[in-house]
Amino acid sequence: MREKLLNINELAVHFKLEEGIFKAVDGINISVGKKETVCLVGESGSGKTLTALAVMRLIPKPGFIAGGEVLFLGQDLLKVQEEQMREIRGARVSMVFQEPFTCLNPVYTVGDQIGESVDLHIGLKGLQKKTRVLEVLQLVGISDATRVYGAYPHELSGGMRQRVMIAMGIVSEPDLLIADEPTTALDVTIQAQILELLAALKEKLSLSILLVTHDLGIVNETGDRVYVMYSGRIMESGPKKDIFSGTKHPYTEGLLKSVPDLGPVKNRLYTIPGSIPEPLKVPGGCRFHPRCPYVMDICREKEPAETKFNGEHSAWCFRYGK
Amino acid sequence: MENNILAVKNIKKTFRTSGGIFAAGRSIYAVNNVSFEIGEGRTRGLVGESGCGKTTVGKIILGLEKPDSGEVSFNGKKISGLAEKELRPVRKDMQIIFQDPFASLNPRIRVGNAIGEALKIAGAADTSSRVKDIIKEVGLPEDTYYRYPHEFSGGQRQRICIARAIVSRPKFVVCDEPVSSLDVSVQSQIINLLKDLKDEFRLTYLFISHDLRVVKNICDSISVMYYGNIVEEGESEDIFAEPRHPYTRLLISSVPSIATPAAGARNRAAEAGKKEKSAPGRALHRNSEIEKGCAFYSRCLLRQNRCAGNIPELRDTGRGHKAACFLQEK
Amino acid sequence: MRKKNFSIGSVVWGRLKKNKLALLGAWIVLLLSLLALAAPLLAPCSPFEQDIGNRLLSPSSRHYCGTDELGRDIFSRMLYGARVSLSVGFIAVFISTIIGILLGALAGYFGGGVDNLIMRFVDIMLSIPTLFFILMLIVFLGPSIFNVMLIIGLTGWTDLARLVRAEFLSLKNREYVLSARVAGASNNRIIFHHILRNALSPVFVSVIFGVGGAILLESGLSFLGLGVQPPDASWGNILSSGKDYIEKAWWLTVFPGLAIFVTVMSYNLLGEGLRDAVDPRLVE
Repeated sequence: MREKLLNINELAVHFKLEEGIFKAVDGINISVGKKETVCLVGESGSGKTLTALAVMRLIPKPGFIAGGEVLFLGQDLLKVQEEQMREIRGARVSMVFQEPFTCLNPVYTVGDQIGESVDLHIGLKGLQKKTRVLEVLQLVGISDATRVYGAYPHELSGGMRQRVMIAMGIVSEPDLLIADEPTTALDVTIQAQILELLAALKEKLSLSILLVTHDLGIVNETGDRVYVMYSGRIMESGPKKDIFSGTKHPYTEGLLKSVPDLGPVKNRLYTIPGSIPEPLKVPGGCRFHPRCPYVMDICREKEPAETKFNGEHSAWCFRYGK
Repeated sequence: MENNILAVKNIKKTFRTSGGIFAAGRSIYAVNNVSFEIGEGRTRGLVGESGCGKTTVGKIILGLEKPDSGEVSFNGKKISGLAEKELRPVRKDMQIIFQDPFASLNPRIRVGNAIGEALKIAGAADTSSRVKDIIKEVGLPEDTYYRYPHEFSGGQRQRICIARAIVSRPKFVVCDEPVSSLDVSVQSQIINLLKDLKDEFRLTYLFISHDLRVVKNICDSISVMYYGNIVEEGESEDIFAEPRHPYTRLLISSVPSIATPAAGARNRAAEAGKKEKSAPGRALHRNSEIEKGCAFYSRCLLRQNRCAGNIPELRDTGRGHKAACFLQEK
Repeated sequence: MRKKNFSIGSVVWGRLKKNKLALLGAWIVLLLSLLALAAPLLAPCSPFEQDIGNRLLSPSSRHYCGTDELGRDIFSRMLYGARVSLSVGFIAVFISTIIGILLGALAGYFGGGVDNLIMRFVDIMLSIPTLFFILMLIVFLGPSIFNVMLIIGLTGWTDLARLVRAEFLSLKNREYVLSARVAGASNNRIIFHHILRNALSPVFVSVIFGVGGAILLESGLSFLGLGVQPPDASWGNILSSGKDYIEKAWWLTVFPGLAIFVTVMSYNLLGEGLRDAVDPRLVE
C-alpha cells in the first residue's frame, strides 16, 4: 500500500436546521496517496463538496464538523489552531472551485492575485515574485503569460480563468490540490484541456489531487482511485478499473448503466427508480435501499459494513456479507 | 419521405452588446445564416458549445426573439414576423422546455395552474381533468396539482415543465438543454420520459444540447453549430460514426466517456486545444474573422490558406450528411 | 431542496414573528387603527364642543390630555385626528401605489420608447422639490382633506414606479415568463398574473413605509395650515394651534407630537421588519 498523504477518518459534517440535525456527511473514510488522483463522485446532496470543504475547514454555517479527523501528513487538520490552518490552506493544500469567475476578484489583475499568494506563502517580493507568477502561468499552459499577467479576469475566457485559478492553486507548490467540479462550468472542448492540464501537473509537481465530480466520464479519464458517495456515505471505493469493470455496489452499477454515453445507442436508458433522499428524510438501514433492485429485508434494518475485496476495493452492501 | 413540420431558412441574428462598464458596445453574430428542416415525428439535435447561438435559434423558432433576416415556417406556413396576436393560434402547437427547472416555474403559482396555463388561455372547458391526466402521464404524484414548485426536486420540476409543455397536445417541442442541470440518476429518467412521450403524443423535437452523450441517445439527426454557423449536419449515426468537420471531431473526442479508454481521445483533444489556449476572450474578437473565413479557422488543426479568406459552404457528402469544410470538397 | 408544504406568506410571518421591534410596530399600527375606528365610542367629549370656561386645562382624569384654547378636549380631538391622519395616509398611498405599479410595470415590461417616456417624466417629477410642488398644487386646488389625499397620492408614486420597473426588468426574461408567452398568454396576463405576483413583496414593503411618510407629510401640511382645515381635527393642526401656547400649555403640542412620532415610527419599524422578512436572499 502506498503511503498516504491525506487520511479522512469517520468524518461527519452536520447542519443544524430548524427541523433537526441534517447529517450531510455521515462518517466517511477517504485517503489520498502521494501523487495520486482520487475521484470523489456523487450526485447533488451526496456530501461530496462538503467533504472537500471540510478538509479545508471551510464548512459554511449552519454546518459544522461534528466528528472525525482529517490527517494531513499525520497531523489532524481539525485540531490545529486557525492561524496554523491559514498557513496550511493555500500553501500545503489548495482548492480550485467550479466557477472560476466568482472566485477571481474583478478589480485586480491576474498578476496581482497570484502574486498575493506568492507573497503570502513563499514570501517572494518584487521582481522575484513576478518571475514566479509568470513561471506558474506558463506551467498551466498559458503561452502569452505576460499579457495574462496584466489582464483582468473579465478579459479572459472561461477556460483561461480556470487555468488562472489552477495557477493560483499550485503556485505555492502544495502537496494536495482539491478540485471541486473544476470543469463543470466549462465547454466540453475546454474541459478536455483542463483535465489534461491537471494530469500533466500531477506528474510535473508530484501533486496529489482530490477531484470532486458528478461525471463518471471524467472519473474514467482522470482517476486512479474512486470513492462513490451517496447521501452522506461512501457506497463503494477502489481503484478505477475495479469500480468500472468489477462493480460491486448496486448504486455504482445503476449509475454506470444509466449514464448516457457515446457507446452503442440503447432504445431506453436504464434508470435508477426514485430520487435522492431529502436532507431530513434519509431512509434507515442502507440509505440506498428504497432505490435498490436487489433490496433484502436486512437492508431496511441495518447499515451495511465494509466488505473488502481484493486490493483496495471495498463496498458497503449486504450482498457481500454482513 | 415524411413532410417537414418545421423549416428554418437563412436566419440571422446579431446582438449589440450594450457595453457596460468595461467594454465598448459592438454587434455579435449570434446566428449566422442557419437553415434546417425537421421531419414530422423526428428529433433533431442542435449541438454546440456555450455562445454558439443554439438557444437563440430555439427562441427565434418560437417567436421569442425576432430574427434580423430569414424565415421560419411551421406546417408549411410562414410564422416569423407575425405579431404576437397572430402567433397565438400557432403557439398551442409549439412548446418549449427549458434547462433550469428552478427558473422556469413561477414560484407563486400552484403547479396545477402552471401546467394548465395554455389550456386556460385557449379556453378549454376540461382544463383541470386534462391537467390531472398529464400529471399522471409524466409520473408525478397525484397531489401535485395543488402544490407549489418549491416543494419539488429538480427532476420532479422538470417533469412539471414537461407536463406544462405537452398538456395542450402540441406537435412540436423545443427542448433547450432539458437534462443538463439534472443529476445523473435523474437524467436518464427524463430522457426516457421524453422518448415515451414523443411516441405516445407523436411529437417532433428540436433538442438543443451541449452534451453529445445525451444527444446521441435521443436524436435521429444532428446539426452541429459553431459560432452561429451550422458546420455539420446529418443522421446521428453517420455523424458519430464518421464526423466530417474538424470541429465535430474535436467535440466528440473531448467527451469524457465511461466506455472509451482514456488516453487516445484526450490527447487528440489536447492537441487541438493547444492552438486555442492563448486566444483571449475568443467570443469577442471573432466577429471580423467570421465574415472573412471559416469560423473555426483559428482552432483548426487542418487549416489551409484558403480557409482564412473564404467561407466554406455546407455541402452534401452523401446520404444528406453535410459539412461546411473545404477538406470535404473533392 | 424539497420543503414542507407552506405558503410564502407563512414564511414571511414566521420571520416577522422573530423580530420583536417589527412586531411591536405591527401591534401599535393595529391598535391605532382600532382606536381611530372606534373614535366615536371612545371619545369622552365631542371634538368640536367648545367650553370657554374650561380653556387650557392641564391633563386630568376628566380631560386625559387637557383642553385647548377653546376648551375642546384634546384627547377626543386626537382620536378623531387619528381618523383623518390614518385615512389620509392610506388613501394617498393607495393612489400612489396604483399609479406607481401601473407606470412602473408599463415601463419595465415594454421598455424602449414607453420606458423612456415614463422614466423621463419620473425624472422631471423628482427634479422638482416635493414640498414646493405640493404647496403649489394646494394653492391652486385649495386646502381640504380630499385635496391633501389626492395631492400626496399624485406626487408620491415615483419611487414605487422605479422599484416596480426594476422588478419587472429583472423578472420579464425569466423562463417562466417566456413559458407563459409560449403558452399564448396576453401581455395583460403576463404583467398582472405572472410578473406582478413576484414583485409584490417589495411593493408591499414600500407601501408600509409610504403610509408612515404620508402621515408625516399630512401633519406637516396641516401644521402649515395647508392641510386639514379647522374645526376638523388632525394631529398636524392640533400641533399648529398649540404652538402659540407652548409655554403655558405643553400638552397642546406634546401629545399630538407624540402621536405623530409613535405612528410614523411604528410604520417604519413594521416596514423594516417586513423588508427583512421578504428579503429573497434569505429564502433558500
